Amino acid sequence: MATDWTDQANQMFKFWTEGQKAWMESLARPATAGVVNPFAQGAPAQEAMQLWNDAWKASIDQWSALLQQGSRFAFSQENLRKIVDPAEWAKPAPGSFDFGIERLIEGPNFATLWDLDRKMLKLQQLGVKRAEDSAAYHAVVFAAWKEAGERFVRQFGEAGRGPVGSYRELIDRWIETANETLLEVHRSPQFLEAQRRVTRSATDYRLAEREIAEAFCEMHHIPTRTEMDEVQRTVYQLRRDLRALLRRLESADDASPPQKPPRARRTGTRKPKQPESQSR
Amino acid sequence: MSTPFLPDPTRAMAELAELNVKLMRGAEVLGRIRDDDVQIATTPKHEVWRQDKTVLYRYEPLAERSIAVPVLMVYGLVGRYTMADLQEDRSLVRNLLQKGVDLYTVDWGNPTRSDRWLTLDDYVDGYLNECVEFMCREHKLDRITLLGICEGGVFTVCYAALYPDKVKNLVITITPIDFHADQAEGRTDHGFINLWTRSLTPEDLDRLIEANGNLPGELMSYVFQLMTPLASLTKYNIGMLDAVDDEKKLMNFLRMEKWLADRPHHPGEAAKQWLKDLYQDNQLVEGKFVLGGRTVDLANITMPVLNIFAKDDHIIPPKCSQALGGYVSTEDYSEIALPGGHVGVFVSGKSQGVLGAGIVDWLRKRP
Repeated sequence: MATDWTDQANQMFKFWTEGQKAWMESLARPATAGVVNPFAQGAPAQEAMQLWNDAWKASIDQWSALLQQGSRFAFSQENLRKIVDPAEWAKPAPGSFDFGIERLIEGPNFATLWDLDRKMLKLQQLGVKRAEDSAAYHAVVFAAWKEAGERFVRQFGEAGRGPVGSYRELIDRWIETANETLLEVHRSPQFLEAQRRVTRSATDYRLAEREIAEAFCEMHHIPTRTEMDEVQRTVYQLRRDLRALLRRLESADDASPPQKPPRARRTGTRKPKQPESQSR
Repeated sequence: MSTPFLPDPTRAMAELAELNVKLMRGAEVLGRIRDDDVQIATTPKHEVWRQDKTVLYRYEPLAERSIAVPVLMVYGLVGRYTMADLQEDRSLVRNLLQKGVDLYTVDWGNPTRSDRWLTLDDYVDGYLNECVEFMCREHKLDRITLLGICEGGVFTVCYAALYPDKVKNLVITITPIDFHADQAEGRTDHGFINLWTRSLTPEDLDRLIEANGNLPGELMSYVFQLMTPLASLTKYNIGMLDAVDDEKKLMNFLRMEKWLADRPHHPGEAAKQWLKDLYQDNQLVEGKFVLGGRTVDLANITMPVLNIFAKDDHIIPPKCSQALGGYVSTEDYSEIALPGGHVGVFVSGKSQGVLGAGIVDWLRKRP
């Protein structure tokens, strides 16, 4: 059965967020009876501690809000508007939507913090980046089509270009104009850079996705892509070494006196003549 | 009243009626054609040798042999060798066989992720070398003739430079040699792959290969489509419409589609060399390209060379191909400039006979 990683990621994110919030709140909670709470009413430096406590609580709220921004369960209208606004997506700098996630990912690595959630967050951030780059790429392409349309319309006002004789001619003129315009755009630095960025971010996303898939594989005793690549590399290297060895043996045979019949080549297989009309 | 730039309504109605008739005829023709009817690479051949996924085929003769030295046709990894034998009346393979060439071809197979570690060293210094040695043994010859196509042309050039004693004649077609010479052409419709590759960083390419394990065939198809954007976008409506009511034209169209759809993945490590070492760093003409631990020195190419390029090749601009003449040491260097584009040289009706005849005439003078 196919795994819905997005859904799992979001659920895990929500679970983790709530856990973090509960943990931080427990730190600020007044101590239970019998336990000395340095922040309790009447304790020394109470005033200073109260200020510290307030600041701590405020930071929890901010922290929680920040985390919630990264979850799709808490999209505000403003964030939703930004998501569907290509201009926002096309911004080179990360938008407010992924700010929280970015902060989390760029934070310190804690030894005891479960690593998978960090991978999930990284994937989410890369998904946002990919969407931004894709929107920026499409913005360049849309601009090219717009330019092609303007050029197409303009040419009918040009002196020496009469009305078209048929609809087919009209289509041919459009194809010619659009083709020329797109070719120009495809060679422009803006297009090439937009394409490079979207290729890169899609690649980075795929690699981050693999990290999560591999974590799942490791949990369930399934060989990972990386391990398979390593095995294939080993097999490849062994085959290469074998070919080289066989060639050396053959050279040695060729150099020796012709006392025995020449050995058959073993590096490849000779096939009996068997006509085939198809390539595959 | 008609809009100033639109055709008049009476004419438009007639055009619409004509279109409807065409569509009806087309629907009838398309309804009769099945996938099995669309066959490519049908010239009879048989497998003579294989190693891993590489298979060496020998074509059945279609005429009495007139060229003594057998020819090994080498295609690249970006597409499939079947392009040289698209259909019976548009086939370089048949044209050569009918003129008495003893022809072999190498099929690199369909690489998968498990082939990601294969390098160009393996293809040139390994598989291609094995094929050449097999043919030499079979024919009791020291040398054979190589016929390279596109990336396969680069393989044969490298091979000829590394093993000049094993190559009798070298024929290359639509082959890039100077990967930066596209800039000298200054054409907006030529050399996009060169530009696209240079727009990427080496790290982008490394990550791309790491993520996919190879250079995906679909990605290369996309890049090819960017070079002919409107033709790609309109081929299934307007382009196909032009051919749909003519069965012969339609079959030509469908065969080409079959070949285009069969774009293999390019093995990852080999793709890195192809895109980074050659397209980005231009190492072949810089004299820095290393295969099998040896530097490929084009000056080692001392055998006769025939360099065939397409004058309107948008994928490998002519100047990229023609550069070879300035680097080889042979005094027997010839060029044939053919009209048409990259694939058109092999499959267009106009080029049929011209390409094959040009190669055979040249070979006959160098027995």
